[in-house]
Amino acid sequence: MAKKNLYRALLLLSFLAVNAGIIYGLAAAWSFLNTGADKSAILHIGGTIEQAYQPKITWTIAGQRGRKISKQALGELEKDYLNAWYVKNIALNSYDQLGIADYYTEDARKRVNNLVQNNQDNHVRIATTTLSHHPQLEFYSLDGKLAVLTDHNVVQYEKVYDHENLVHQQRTSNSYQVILMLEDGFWRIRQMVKIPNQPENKNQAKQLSFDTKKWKGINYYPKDNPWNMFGDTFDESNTQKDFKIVKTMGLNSVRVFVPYEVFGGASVKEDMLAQLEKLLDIAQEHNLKVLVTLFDFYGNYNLMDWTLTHRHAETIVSRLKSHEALLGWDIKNEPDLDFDSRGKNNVLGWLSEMAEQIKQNDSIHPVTIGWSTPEAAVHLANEVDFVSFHYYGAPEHFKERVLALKDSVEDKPLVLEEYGTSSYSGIWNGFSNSEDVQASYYQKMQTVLTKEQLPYFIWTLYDFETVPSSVVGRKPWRKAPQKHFGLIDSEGKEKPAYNIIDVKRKGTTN
Amino acid sequence: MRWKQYIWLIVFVALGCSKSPDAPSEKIPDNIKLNSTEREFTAGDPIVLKFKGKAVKQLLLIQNGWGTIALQPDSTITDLTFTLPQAITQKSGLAHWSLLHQKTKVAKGSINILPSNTLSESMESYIGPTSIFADNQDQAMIVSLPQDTYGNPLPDSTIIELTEKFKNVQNNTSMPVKDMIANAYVGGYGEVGELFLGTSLENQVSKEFTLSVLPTKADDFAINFDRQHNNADGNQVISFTTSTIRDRNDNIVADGTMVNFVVEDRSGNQYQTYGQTLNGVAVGKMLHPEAPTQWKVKAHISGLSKSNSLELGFEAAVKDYTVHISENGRTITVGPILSYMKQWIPDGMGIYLEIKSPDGESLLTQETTSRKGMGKFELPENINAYENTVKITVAGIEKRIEGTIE
Repeated sequence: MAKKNLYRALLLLSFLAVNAGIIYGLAAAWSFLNTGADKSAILHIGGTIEQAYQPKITWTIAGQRGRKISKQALGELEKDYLNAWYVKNIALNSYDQLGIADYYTEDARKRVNNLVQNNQDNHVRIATTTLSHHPQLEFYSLDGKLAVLTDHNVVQYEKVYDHENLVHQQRTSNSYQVILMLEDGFWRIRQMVKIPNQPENKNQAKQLSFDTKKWKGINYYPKDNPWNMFGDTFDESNTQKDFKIVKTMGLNSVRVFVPYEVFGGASVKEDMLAQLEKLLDIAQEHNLKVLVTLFDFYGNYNLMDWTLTHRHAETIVSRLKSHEALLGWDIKNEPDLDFDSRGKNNVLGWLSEMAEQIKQNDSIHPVTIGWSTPEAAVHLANEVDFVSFHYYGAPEHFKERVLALKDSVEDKPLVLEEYGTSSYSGIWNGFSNSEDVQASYYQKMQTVLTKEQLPYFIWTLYDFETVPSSVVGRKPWRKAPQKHFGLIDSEGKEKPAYNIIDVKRKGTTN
Repeated sequence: MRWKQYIWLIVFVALGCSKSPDAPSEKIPDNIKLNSTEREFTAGDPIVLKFKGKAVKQLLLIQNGWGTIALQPDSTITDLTFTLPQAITQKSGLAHWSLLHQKTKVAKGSINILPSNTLSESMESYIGPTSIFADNQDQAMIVSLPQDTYGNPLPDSTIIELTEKFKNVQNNTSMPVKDMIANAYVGGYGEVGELFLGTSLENQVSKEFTLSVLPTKADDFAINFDRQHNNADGNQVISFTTSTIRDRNDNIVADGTMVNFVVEDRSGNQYQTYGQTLNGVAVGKMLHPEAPTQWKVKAHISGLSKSNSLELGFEAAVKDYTVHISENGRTITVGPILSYMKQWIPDGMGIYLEIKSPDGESLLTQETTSRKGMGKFELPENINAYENTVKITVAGIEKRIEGTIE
């Protein structure tokens, strides 16, 4: 009997299994038949190419021969000319000559292919991009089908790989004379010859006047939406309130962060920019200065991405450069943490070029990079106006590490751009901290800072109830302490450390 | 003793695992200099860059107009030399080089490559637009891209010869190269014809180009008419002919120019017909009217020019006809309709019937065409010709037959 039941059960189960198998098979076949090219692909609507490559381009039209070019025609010429550079950059980097046929005439195509082939045979790869173009239209034919331009001082950046080893990077400036022809609706390069550069009348670098000595600041994020203060969550009244607190504490500056993607990448969103401007306005009302940290959460550094980040910086910097409340530009927060994952050379190359780009757009405000440790801050020290570093170590070792940095960067002013300690006390750190420990940390640090006359930015004003995983990762033992770095706890109560910082109340509570 | 071997083993493994130092400790020779003194070359000539020093593992980067390449030394046993590939030697213009040794730039410089003296066989030239108007000012442009045999553009101020031939008059002019191209405006003729063009430099020649010089906008013109007779028989065709239409420079307008003839009759109705010019003459045709009338004819080329106004009259083609109603009042026979020569009118003349009730209400309208001078109407059952008013119209002649009221 039992055996019979067993058979029944087995039979039933195998029946179910077979059915499940059939249904799964049908579903798999169905979903396979529904995959493949999107129907809209038939239309061949491209258009992502111009978003991937946006070097700065400045035209000179005056003095052109032939027919006067219209704005529309010039726009089309520019688009295709830049695309020609872009597809050639790709060909030199990956030997992929797919786009060459679209943007080079038959004869020119052969010659580009020759060059690329030569590199491929020698196992040489050139990663390259152009950063700025200054084309002068020399000639535009009467029927609008042929144009000659001289592209002066094209700033090019190249990384040369020999058997996949990076052997050289160079930033060069070259001039080219180019013939373009309109064929099949594409402006194609027919001829491209390198010519000597015209002497560039370099703007004399203005002497910056800034005095880091007086800076006493704090890294600012609002209490309820840290790392996410712009966009829908932007709250003017909170900022008003918080900046008032910062001012009453006797501080005079704040450091804020501009997230790259949230702000729209290469085409910066106007509403975001308006919010940032508003934040500076509020700071101005409270007589605070703002150190703007760009490129937060950015981590590509790829040569192909450079021009996009340059347009991002250009938009923000040129918009805010004349704002009274602007203290300076911090290119990126703790870029040294990307050295391992992105390659030190890639990161340093990008930073160094970005410093140059920001200075081109704003010759008044100082530029810095927010290195994560005093030791990392020696990088590119010559290219920044003041050296910024963060310190989360023990106060006892602070002085010697700063002095070591001071020795290696010579006369560049130093700024402690982030420091602080968490008052978190819980299972993840064995209940070892407390708000009093935090207060005594600040006590020690402030003593050194005052003695060394080192400008500082505290991390941070508030304890946070939530910390996004993108900041410190998902691990609870890293997240938990990150929530308790504030001088004010998440209920709005001042912690003991607050009174250490509050210069006006100092002494009365101690 | 055995443990000693183990220790050695561990030491070796440890050494094997440790990172090798970044750069091999070869000393960079600091006096690497270009030995070759030549800085200017001609495209196509072999170029060898000779450096002072021994070849080790240097890399030479060369950047020309098209891009950058990297080269290894020719050989590692001899002196430090680099033979540049054709991709570089055949390309005119500046080429910057830099010599890398262990990832460090140890020397740099540039060479200039001039276009070869051997010219390409054909002169790449473009002309546009390919036709112009003979209005004494319209112009086209010819652009030439002279090249050497490797496809390099020739230097500024190279003189290109431009040959133009128009109506047996040949002109040779010169156009200097500037910014890699030479260009010239051609045209400005007041006469229609074909302009033949070509450019050359020594034995580098372009193909022969033809530029059509087309007549410009037509000037006002005259029209005339031609018809077999002046009777409104609705059968013959009248044709309107334009004078030879010319532009303001007396050139006959292009064949196929559309001329629009507009006819307005006495009662203000308008009719249109079209003709296209051949040798400047366009012909428009129209059927004679069926009833005597007066026509006003005017032609124009849309938006450009117009003709004089022409007036002509048509006389009645039909003198008279009879109408017969059958006994039962259901069949109406019209005819014989006789024409101006007392013969049957040609088939196809329109015959119109209208039947009105005694109180003036229109009951029926019908039309038919004449055949052998006759026309016939069959009335529907409920209408009797004798009980109503019958109205017949042929060639504008109207006949009324009043019915008898019972």
